[in-house]
Amino acid sequence: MRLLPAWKYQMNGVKWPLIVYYIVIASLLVLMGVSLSIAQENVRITVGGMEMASMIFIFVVGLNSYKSVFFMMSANGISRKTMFVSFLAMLGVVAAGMALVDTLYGIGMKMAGNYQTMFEQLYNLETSAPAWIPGGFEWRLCSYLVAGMAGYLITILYYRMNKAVKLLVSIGVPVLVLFVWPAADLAWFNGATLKAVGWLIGWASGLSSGNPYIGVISNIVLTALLGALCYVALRRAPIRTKTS
Amino acid sequence: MSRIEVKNVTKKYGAVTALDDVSVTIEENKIYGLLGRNGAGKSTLLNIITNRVFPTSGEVLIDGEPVLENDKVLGKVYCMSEQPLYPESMRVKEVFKWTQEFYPDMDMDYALALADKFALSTRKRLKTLSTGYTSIYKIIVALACNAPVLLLDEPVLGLDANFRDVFYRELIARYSEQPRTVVISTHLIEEAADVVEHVLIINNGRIILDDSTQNVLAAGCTVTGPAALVDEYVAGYRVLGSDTLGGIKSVYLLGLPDAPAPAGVEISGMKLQSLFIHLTNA
Repeated sequence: MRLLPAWKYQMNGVKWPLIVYYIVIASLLVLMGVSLSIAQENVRITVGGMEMASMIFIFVVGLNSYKSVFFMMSANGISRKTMFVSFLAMLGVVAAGMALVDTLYGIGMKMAGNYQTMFEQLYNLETSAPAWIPGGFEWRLCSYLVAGMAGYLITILYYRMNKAVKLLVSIGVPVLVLFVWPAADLAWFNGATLKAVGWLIGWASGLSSGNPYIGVISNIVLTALLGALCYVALRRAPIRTKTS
Repeated sequence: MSRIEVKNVTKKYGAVTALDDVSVTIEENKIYGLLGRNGAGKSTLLNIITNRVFPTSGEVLIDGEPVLENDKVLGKVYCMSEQPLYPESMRVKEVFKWTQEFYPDMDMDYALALADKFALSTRKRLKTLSTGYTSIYKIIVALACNAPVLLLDEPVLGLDANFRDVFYRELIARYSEQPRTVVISTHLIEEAADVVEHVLIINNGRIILDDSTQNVLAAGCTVTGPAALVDEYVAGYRVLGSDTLGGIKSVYLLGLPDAPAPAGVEISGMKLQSLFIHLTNA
């Protein structure tokens, strides 16, 4: 398996976006600090939820990690299996790095002022003291893995679909989830299916019990499940070609 | 070793059969010409050999090992593809750098020297290159990567005569220094005829000719002379085609005439292109 060059190529693709992302975050903080310093005394600013921005970022990384990488690796004699493993290795490193930075960022922000991480808000772990909260790093890491893997799966599935199916899925799925399902649920089940899904999410994420480790375990299972689906979808993916 | 065995490969795209039970062995350290009309199945065959697309049935072995998801075997092959597989925003020098990562035996000095020879700026992004220069950067990568098997799909696409000449010279020079297995898929048959040692002609997804260039060219001849004399001389032979310019006629024959040529009529070698047109027009 020619994993090292494949992994280096995957890492190279995410290096600059990652740097730019944290530069933007740092710039926003500086801007906020400047705004606070020139504001009147009674102004109070609360910031938080950095993790959501990171999840969106890593989801987009997943979305952008398939087609061009697949073409490049195919041009250089790399198998789909190695490409997939190199993606996992890249995602693992990036997710761990971002989880660490975001955890340290949370601690640092608490030192500077009033800050609440998304993790603390979700699990009601409100504390003003700058401290390493158990489970926070693990929860972020696993959440980022799920986000990256979800992006990767979506982009592979779209690659495998023909135009008609793409159109059907792009319109059909949002219509089904946002309109048909809620309407059918209200009409026939008195809102029971939506409530059941809400309960399931609350239970699986550990939000209902206030235990973030349940969320960590669920995210590990979800990452494995999404990863398995990704591999099934990409292992027979062809380079689209003319029959010449 | 770098021997390719294609065994009973069929590839269907819906109702279209791109390859129909193709079996062919590509021997190591030879230059093959893979010739075929548009849509004959040349690129499909090369893409199946490199595991870029999957056959509907059959298998491909390199040095006895299946190519299917086999990094070790795939690493022995470099396929210069007509399709744009490199990111368009990449610079030429980055293509060289990454090729060296994936093919550690790549000769970077040679790649840079070739870029100079072709007047290709390595700072340019791929999306800014013309069709000819797009072929050129791929040619450079193919020649410099030092893979034991080179598959070149339409390598001279968009190249002018001078650059085509440079390419063929470099290919032969490189091959003479380090013999390897080369398959050239091309439409420019007469140019390739001077380079290839073995001819594979593919038509409607089937290999219809698999023989050494020497044997193929020895299978026929060209008879040239005044039209009336030539017509009389070749009567009764299997004529593949003919060209007439003024009163002079060239007739391409399958087989060699038994009788000596009359005065004013010349017999010369067979033209591969004429044989190709004859075989693939059916």
